[in-house]
Amino acid sequence: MLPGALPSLGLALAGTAMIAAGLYLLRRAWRRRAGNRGPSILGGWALLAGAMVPWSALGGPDRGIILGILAACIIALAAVTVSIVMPAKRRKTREPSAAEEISPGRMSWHTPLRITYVTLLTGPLAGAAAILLTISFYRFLTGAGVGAADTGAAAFIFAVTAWAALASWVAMDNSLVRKSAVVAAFAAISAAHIFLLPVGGA
Amino acid sequence: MAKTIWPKMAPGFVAKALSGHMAIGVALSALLYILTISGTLLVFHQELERWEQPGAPEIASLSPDAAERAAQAIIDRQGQSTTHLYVGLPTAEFPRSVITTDHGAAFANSDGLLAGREHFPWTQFVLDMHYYLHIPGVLGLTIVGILGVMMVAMAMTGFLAHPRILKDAFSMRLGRGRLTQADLHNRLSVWTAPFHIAVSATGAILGLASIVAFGIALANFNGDTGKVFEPVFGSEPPPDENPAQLADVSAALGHFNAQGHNAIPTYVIVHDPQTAGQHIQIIAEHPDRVIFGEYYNYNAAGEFQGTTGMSDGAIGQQVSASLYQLHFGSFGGIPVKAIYVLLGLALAVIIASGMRIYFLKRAEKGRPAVRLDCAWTAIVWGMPAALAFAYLGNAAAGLEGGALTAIFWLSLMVFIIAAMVAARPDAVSRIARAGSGGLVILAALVHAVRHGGSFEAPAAFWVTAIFLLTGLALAVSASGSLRSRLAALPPAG
Repeated sequence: MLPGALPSLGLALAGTAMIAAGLYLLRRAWRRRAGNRGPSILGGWALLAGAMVPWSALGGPDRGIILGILAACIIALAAVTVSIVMPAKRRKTREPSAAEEISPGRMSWHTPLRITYVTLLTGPLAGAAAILLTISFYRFLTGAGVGAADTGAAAFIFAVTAWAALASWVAMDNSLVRKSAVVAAFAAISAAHIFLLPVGGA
Repeated sequence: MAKTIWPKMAPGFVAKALSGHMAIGVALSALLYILTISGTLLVFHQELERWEQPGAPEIASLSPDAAERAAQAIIDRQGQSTTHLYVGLPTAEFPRSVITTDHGAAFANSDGLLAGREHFPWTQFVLDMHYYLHIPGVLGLTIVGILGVMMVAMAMTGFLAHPRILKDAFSMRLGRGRLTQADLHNRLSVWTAPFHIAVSATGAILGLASIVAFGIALANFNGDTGKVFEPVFGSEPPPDENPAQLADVSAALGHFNAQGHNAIPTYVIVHDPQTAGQHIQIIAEHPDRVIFGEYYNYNAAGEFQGTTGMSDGAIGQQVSASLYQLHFGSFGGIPVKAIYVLLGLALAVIIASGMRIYFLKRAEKGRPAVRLDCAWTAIVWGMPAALAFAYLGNAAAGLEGGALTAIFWLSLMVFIIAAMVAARPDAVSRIARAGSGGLVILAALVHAVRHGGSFEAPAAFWVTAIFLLTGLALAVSASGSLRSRLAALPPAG
């Protein structure tokens, strides 16, 4: 065995074991319909978070955490796969809630015109509003004295998050007027902020 | 009843979230699926490049002198000025040296002698599909970025639409048609959420960087986007177009190697080569980091000028330097790549099962959309066939570039039309899987015949073997539908 391989293996095993134990506690808690599940849920999440320590020690501060999260995904998928291949004992389960069922009947965009407008609102228009919001955010961070590199990186992440959130809202809201107003309001407020706040000013 | 600490969401809000989730999904699933499959393939893009040219020279290292010889050789051979010159250094994962300019790329052997043109038209076609959806320039990149945003929006609405998604994170109801599909969709979604949110968001950031930077620059820097990127990726010295000898690549690489860095050099970049303003950057990977590397800056004489700070500068620089690796899973060797492929396939299943739920629900409501269902099935199972057709077009007829793009999209369109005419989803599914399986196997065999002399090359062997197994799996799944087997399993309770 290569020198250093043994501690690495130990860290990987410790991290994996903590993830497996955490997932087991969560699974136990989430499958129970009654009783005090708090300790199991807290313990499960604490073990999952704690597992990032050995993974970080193994793979580096940023890379290790990502490796740990990937390991958690794979272990959880394995658990779900096991539940498919080896079904649990028959037990009474609740019927799915309405929320779990996708209902095409809920679609409110019945006309091509409406579909076209909602597509534009979700894509380019929400995007334009999100970019205006991002410019405003960029100005704010610059004015607050945040470094240029951090401001730039934060702005790119913000743009995607803001656009996704606006697109989600547009897709969710049934009222054309309200969703249009929300997008327009974000764009107008951001534009006003950009116009009123000088470059580099707070 | 167990208590929960979470606020209860109003049923109306949940229904709206579900409606939004479905609306985006139905509208964009086809494109998202194509991006997901192409992205999953591209996790192994280096291996695919090696597979396409298995006979290219593979070397363990390139000395500083050999690197300089190769750089000078390509400039002499091409006889044209170039804005950048890249010397790709061999690594354990990609043991090849590729010298690239604005006018093409060539392999170098360990002595720095050029050894044939780098040419991987099929991998490039898949890269262009994933980066641009074959739409040229910034427009394609931006559309792909927007699809990344919509994928993030799907995750947002998906979580809002399923208040019990964590509580039910381990539930699977088998043999119950749409409910089984819903459980598969929800379980895979929740447990791969860190992956698919990270991949979608990083893809969106990479795709939208140009237009976001343009917006910021227009409002703050008179449209100069360089001012947005320079604080992150560093600035370049002012250009000086006066002619000069090629920068001292050997001295720069020699200095780097002499420092005993833990970092592994992957590229030497000469900016504005053979001009008085030229300068050198060495990109070096830092083990145990997600960043793509650090820039080590040198002047034309090969004298060290400092680093840019991708590894230890501002947090914003380190985050930005991590986006690409996080998106493609190229930060942990083959094991991480294999996990990315597995999770990428899970994402494809999430998208496919989402649409399956939609069609089953429509059928239950007495409004079946059989032809649309067939079209969707043709996309899902026809994509491997369309990819194989494109490869065969290159292998058999030497087609490349736009011709491969045309083959892919036209064949997918033909599959869709044929499936809609057939109007029998199960039959379409079986035929498409059998056809895809057969074509993938044929493509792998054609590759083996074409490159028989280099078949023992590791990348050629393993990639061919994986393609053969994939084709076989598709064909086997056609003979006995997995879905019907799932349905036949006893209920979990």
